[in-house]
Amino acid sequence: MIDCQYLEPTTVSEACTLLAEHGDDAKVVAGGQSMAILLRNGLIQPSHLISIQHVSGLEDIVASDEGVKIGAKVTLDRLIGIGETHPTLRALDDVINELADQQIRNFATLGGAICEAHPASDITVVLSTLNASVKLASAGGERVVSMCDFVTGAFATAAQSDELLTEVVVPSFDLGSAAAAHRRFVLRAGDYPVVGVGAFVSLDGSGGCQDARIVVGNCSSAPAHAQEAETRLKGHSIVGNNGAIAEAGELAASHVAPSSDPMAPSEYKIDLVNVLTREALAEAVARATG
Amino acid sequence: MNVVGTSAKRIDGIEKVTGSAEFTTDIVLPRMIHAKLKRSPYAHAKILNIDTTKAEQMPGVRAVITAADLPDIRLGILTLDEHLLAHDKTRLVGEPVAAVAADTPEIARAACEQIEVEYEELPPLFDPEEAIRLDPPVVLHEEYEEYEKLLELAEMDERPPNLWQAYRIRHGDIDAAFKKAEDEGGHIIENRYATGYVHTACMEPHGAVAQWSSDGTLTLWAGGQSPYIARDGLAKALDLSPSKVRVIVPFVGGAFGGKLTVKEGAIAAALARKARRPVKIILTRAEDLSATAARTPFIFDIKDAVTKDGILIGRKVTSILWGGGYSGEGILKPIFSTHLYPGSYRLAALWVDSYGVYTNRVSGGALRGYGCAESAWAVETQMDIIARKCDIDAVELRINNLLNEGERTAITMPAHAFSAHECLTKCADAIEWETPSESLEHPWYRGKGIALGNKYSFAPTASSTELKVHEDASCELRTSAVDLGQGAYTILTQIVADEFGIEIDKVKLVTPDTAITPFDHVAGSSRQTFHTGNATRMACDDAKRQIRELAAPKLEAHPDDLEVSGGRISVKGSSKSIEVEDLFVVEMLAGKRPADVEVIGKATWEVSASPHDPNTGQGEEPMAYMGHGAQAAEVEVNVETGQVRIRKFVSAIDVGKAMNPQGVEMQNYGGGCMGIGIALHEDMCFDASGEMTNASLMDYKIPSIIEMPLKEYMESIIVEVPHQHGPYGAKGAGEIVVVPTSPAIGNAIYDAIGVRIWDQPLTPEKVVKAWKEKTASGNGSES
Repeated sequence: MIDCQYLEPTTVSEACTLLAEHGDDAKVVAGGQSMAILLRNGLIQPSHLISIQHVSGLEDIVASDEGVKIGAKVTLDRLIGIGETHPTLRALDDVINELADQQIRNFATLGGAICEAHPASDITVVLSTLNASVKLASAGGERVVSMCDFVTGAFATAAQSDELLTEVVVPSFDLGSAAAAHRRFVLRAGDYPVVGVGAFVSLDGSGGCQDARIVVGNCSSAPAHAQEAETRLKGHSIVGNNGAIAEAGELAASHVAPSSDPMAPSEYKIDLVNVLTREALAEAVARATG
Repeated sequence: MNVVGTSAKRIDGIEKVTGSAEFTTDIVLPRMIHAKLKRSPYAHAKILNIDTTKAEQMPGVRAVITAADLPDIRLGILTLDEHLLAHDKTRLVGEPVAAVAADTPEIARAACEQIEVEYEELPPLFDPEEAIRLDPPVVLHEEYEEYEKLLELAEMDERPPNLWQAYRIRHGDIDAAFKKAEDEGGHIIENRYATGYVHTACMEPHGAVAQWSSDGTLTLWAGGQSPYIARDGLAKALDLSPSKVRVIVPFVGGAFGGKLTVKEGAIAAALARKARRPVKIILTRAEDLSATAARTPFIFDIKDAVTKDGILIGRKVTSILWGGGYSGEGILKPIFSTHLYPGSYRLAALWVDSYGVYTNRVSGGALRGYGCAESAWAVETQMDIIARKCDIDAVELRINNLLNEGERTAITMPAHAFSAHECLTKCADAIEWETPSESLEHPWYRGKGIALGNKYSFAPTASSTELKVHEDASCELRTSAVDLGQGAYTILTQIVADEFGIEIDKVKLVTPDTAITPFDHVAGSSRQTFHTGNATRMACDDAKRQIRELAAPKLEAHPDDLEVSGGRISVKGSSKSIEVEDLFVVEMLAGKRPADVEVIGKATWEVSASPHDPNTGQGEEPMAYMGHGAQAAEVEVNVETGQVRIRKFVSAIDVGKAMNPQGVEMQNYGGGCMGIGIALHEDMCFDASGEMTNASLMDYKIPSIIEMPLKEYMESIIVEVPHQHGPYGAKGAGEIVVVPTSPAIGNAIYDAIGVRIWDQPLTPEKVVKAWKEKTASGNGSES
């Protein structure tokens, strides 16, 4: 039995006031998918649950000059096939289309999935790869934090106890010369992955790599950039250069130190980082050139 | 009316699909309260003191019990080694040490946390090979010699102190066989295999509701496999006469061997007696997975002597069943698993030493295939290795070694209705065995594998049924057979409809309730169709005999000249007939009764068997029947990620007679899915303290539908070779369908990438490791 008070504000400012009032003792619940597990496992014991179910204005998906803005309450189900309407989000399709199952996608929200900060989350990995940022509202105003800085550890974020995540912004990029992809390996359909890897590349006119982002999931407490691999690629030929991609895979794998768990031993996760980095990169290059 | 042999609709289908079927958890009784268990956090510890004061004082708590509240009786299947609540020692993490009944499950759980147990930790023992030593580092049961035992172990000079089972087979001249293989250019092939920790993980967790009536009778509702085993177990645990215990089995959400006994039901009953209120207990998923009996691992060391032409002439096996804190329902596995060592093959010499040992892990239980599914992993992988060593096709090699109808196996099981050859060849045809798999682009590789399997159905055993005929000619079958999802109720209904020539909807079942329904041994060992089916036919015959005798005077004919069908009794060869209803008379208050006695047919079907000599494994016919089946898989293996996809899966099983072909098909598919899970995915993991670390359905990887081959790539083949004693020739189908699955898949993986993984499950991580080792050493040859 969960013994806590359930509050239902109807606006962002009301929600922020309640958060300011109850501080660390309060938790925000949107779809409830992650919350139910965290509560059941006793990982959190809030005295107040602040439901944002009736808070309006957090459910839009809007394309703007800044990029695509996705409201925190958008369910994962609504993100199925999002890459078709917003092509810069195509890498999100790699994740969402295989994520969990229909029942879970129906009530899980994007904001909830980010704020849970599960170390195996593919969503935080792919959003980091896409250089996304999140908008945090509080009674004192708003601030924007990049995804890479937002997830600070396993089940830990940079959000203050009085802040509410309201929006995710995925910046635009030139679809003619850049693309992202995500690859994951699961032991069973619908599971958290053993390892997930996101890759973003932007190309110059001659098949060289102008910029690269490679983000590895579930090998540390938060999504981690494979900096050595990124450095290896930047400024070098990448299109048609399988050697460079293979090297990037090796570099990414040699710089992770995952812990073993019942799903997989560390050594195997390292093998997967290599394979998935290669596959994600190859796919990103194919998309950027296709 | 031919109803048997048709795919009649499941009679429980609508209830289950609409949610109106009542399971144990749906039962609510007036004044009912809820139980929770206080479990040991230690794998091995002395219990110094239990203080329940704080828990008892909590508002809403109605009863708290410990071992001190229970009779000092040890329980078990054949070796009575386990108290209902830990007595002076706890031997596995999760063993119940106390129990609370309270107004709500939440209060009961909170009260459990207030129970203070003082433990003295003892060193735990987890390694079965250490456990079996004559001088083990730890002894789990110091008082073993004093325990009541209903089973004789093989003689040995000195019993290793943690051993609870020892069984030997001594057949033929084993030394001569190995010498012959050596001298005549044959092969000696020796390997070690292991199976993993697997849980039944039924959709419905274990649970029960207990209620006492004022005359001291206990009624227990529990979704189990045998109301009579449950009844006798409850009576023993609570020191009651069995007639004072009534067990009712509601619908069951799966059992697979995991619901043979009702330990938590007995605890609920003890709480209900103390609280003087009905008590419900439903285990959580985590409790169900971590603290109820599992399919614990086997270690097999197999050494085969084979002629250069691929004829198996001798086999030597040493196996250890990695038991848990108590011998539990796994007690017979070291014996029954030996049936696969000869399996369907002729073996001139067989030499087996099979053991079971205690360790401080979860106790060993039954799971679909009871020992055979495990030993098949070793034996049928071994057959594949032999075939490759002798350079003979794996199907041909098996066929060359098969018994003939009428022969006996090395452990004296007669080869009757021997369909191994037919199962194997039909399976091979369906997977296009002669055509090698296509080559794919690296890192993907494709390969095919095949395996044969057997599943005995144990004896001695018995089933009784009663069949009452009503005035509207409908029939009421009273049975203690349990439908666990396997379709028993539908098949028994079909039999009655067939025997009486009536529509299925004119048959009513009275389901297991020991106050009403007669003895049936257990819904286990693939035995309901065979044994309860026979008993049902016989009860139908008995009822029809009574009807003929009642009708004879009215029809002025001899009872032997009458036949009963479709609600009519007619004189053979004449047009004279009356309706069943005409046998009933109207009574004064306008009720109806039969003219003479109630028409209630009764029958008991029994199969006797004498236990084999535990020192030689020899004796008379040891089992009721032997099932045959073959399965084949085509897999796709990714050597970089280790992923194994089942591209195609074929299951060909012999059921003697398909009573309900769709039901058999579902067994083929369902068993295949379960077998695929066991082969590739499922693995209970434990930390260094002996606690299960993946006790949730998120972390314990039962495969999802996505891991299964597409329907068009999953083929069910039904083989029908009638068994002389089966009803309509039928045999059971429930277990054979998981027996060959693991070796078929393992052999396919070898065919694809040339590596063997010896220990189940064949996880991606092991595939990658084996592939790396192979490529590092530059070859994939095997001995």
